[in-house]
Amino acid sequence: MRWHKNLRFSFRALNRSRFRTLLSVSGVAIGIAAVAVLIGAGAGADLALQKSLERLGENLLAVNASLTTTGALRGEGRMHETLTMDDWRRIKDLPSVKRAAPVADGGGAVRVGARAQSFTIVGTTPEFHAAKKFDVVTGRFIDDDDVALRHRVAVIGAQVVDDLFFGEWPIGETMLIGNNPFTIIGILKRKGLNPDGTTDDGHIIVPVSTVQRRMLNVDHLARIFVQARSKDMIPVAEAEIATLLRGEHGFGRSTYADDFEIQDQAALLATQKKMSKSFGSLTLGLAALALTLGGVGLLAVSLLSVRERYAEIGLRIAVGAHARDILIQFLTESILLALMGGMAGVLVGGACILIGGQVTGWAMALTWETVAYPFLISLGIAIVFGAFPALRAARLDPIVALRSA
Amino acid sequence: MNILGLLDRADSGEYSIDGQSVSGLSASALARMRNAKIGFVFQQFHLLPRTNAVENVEIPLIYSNADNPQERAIAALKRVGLGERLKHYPEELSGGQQQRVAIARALVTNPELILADEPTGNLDKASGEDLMGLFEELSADGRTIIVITHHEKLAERAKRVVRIDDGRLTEVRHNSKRSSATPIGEVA
Repeated sequence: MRWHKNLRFSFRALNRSRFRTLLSVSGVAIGIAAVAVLIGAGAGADLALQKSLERLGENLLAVNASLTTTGALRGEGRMHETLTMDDWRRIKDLPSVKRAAPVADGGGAVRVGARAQSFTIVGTTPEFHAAKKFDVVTGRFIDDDDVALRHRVAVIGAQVVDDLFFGEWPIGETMLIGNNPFTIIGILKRKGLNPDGTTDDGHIIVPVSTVQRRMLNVDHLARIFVQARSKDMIPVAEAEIATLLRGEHGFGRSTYADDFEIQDQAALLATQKKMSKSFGSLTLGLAALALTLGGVGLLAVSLLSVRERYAEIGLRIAVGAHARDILIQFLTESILLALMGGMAGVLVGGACILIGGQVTGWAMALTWETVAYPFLISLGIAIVFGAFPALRAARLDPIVALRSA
Repeated sequence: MNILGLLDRADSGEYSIDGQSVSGLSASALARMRNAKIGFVFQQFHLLPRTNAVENVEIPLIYSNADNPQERAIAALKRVGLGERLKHYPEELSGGQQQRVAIARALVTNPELILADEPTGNLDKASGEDLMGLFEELSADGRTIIVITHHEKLAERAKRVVRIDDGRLTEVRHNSKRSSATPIGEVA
């Protein structure tokens, strides 16, 4: 017997018991929708991670002043104050390093007219622009003259514009950082959220020398961002920097801990990705549970259907159906149910992804995987959970089946 | 009945249909033989619910991959006098009409043998009479019809009566008043 004829029998059978069909389909649909949403959320998270990797800057290392762990006089838990502009100049000239940007952190109240708010002040050099991908939309970035002459100039993030200027034109305006007046020379392009949920849009970029001399009166740096020449050079750069700083700071020969730490920014993201993956496998487990419930529902309904249709099966065997025909018919019914459930689930899941992404602001993406995997899974469910009832139907003794009606 | 209909195998003895012994046949071969050579009529009709008359009658043809199943199903329904009820569901037909659909289904593969198990058991007297009339017509066409029944009066209409009491064959009788060359059996 040909498949398309079986398909007709199966369609008729499903049509005969529409409520039962609806029940099985919705069971599968719920599971599939859950899987579709999870895959969508996973794809969205990957996409967000990808974007933030691109935003972060390529092949970037952060050389941070580390926390002190010894030194009773100065107290533990403070930052080492040994990273300097000289270190930056030497790191910049290492063969594995493409460029480096020093950072002196300054926090504090920023005032424009009557409005005041706290922002992150980043004292740095022009290299910061390229290394960290801080693009300027209007005006200009700080330049070498600004650094050399300790100009009181500032490039402000999009968030700063939102909070302090309310749509007014900020370029050329003066803002007070602490008690120092700064002239605004540029506005940074909006970067959005980092993978850890923080944002760089509240940054105010000023010359490193201005922060060190005019604001904090210090010589040290908080960190140095280093861009390696290539991805392969990242470990080389790490080693070179470590050797250099240990030599300069005199820790290499002793048992003292380093006064700096080097972070591979991409590796940091990879760790985060791994964490989101393990969270993903938890939710995937929940989805598997939902799918299994859908599958068990399908199994129960199919068994019920076989039991209810003993007479039909007996009759089919009496008029010449082979056991194979009965098997194929019932398996086809399961597959049709699961595929309908799969389709409904993908539609519902897709809608959840599109609407949910808008409403919650979570990163979700509708990719081909969101559609393809649930379909394959529902097909698998149909075969796994449909096989048993179908086999049972095919092995039925026609005499018993006919008599039971 | 089950052995005659190839739904069960004989524990002992030999059963040949159309000169061919069935004891050595595979399940598939038996299925093909049921399809081609035997038509079943049951006391409970066994029509698929919410499936119209034509679709019910088509089923054996679909299993045998026959050409034009729909046309042949319609022809069989016309043969049993249901030409006006082709698209009716079993629920919309009387008991007698349902049994006629079942007979059309048994006829549609043009089998040599029609096996009817208490075909009038669920019918009123008039419908039962009609049905036996139909069987007599089919018998006159040269088809073998075996009717299993408890009704002595019904059995009197058969050409040959085989009486079985408690599994034992107790009587074989030929009714001379019937002109048909086709035997109809009785199992009591």
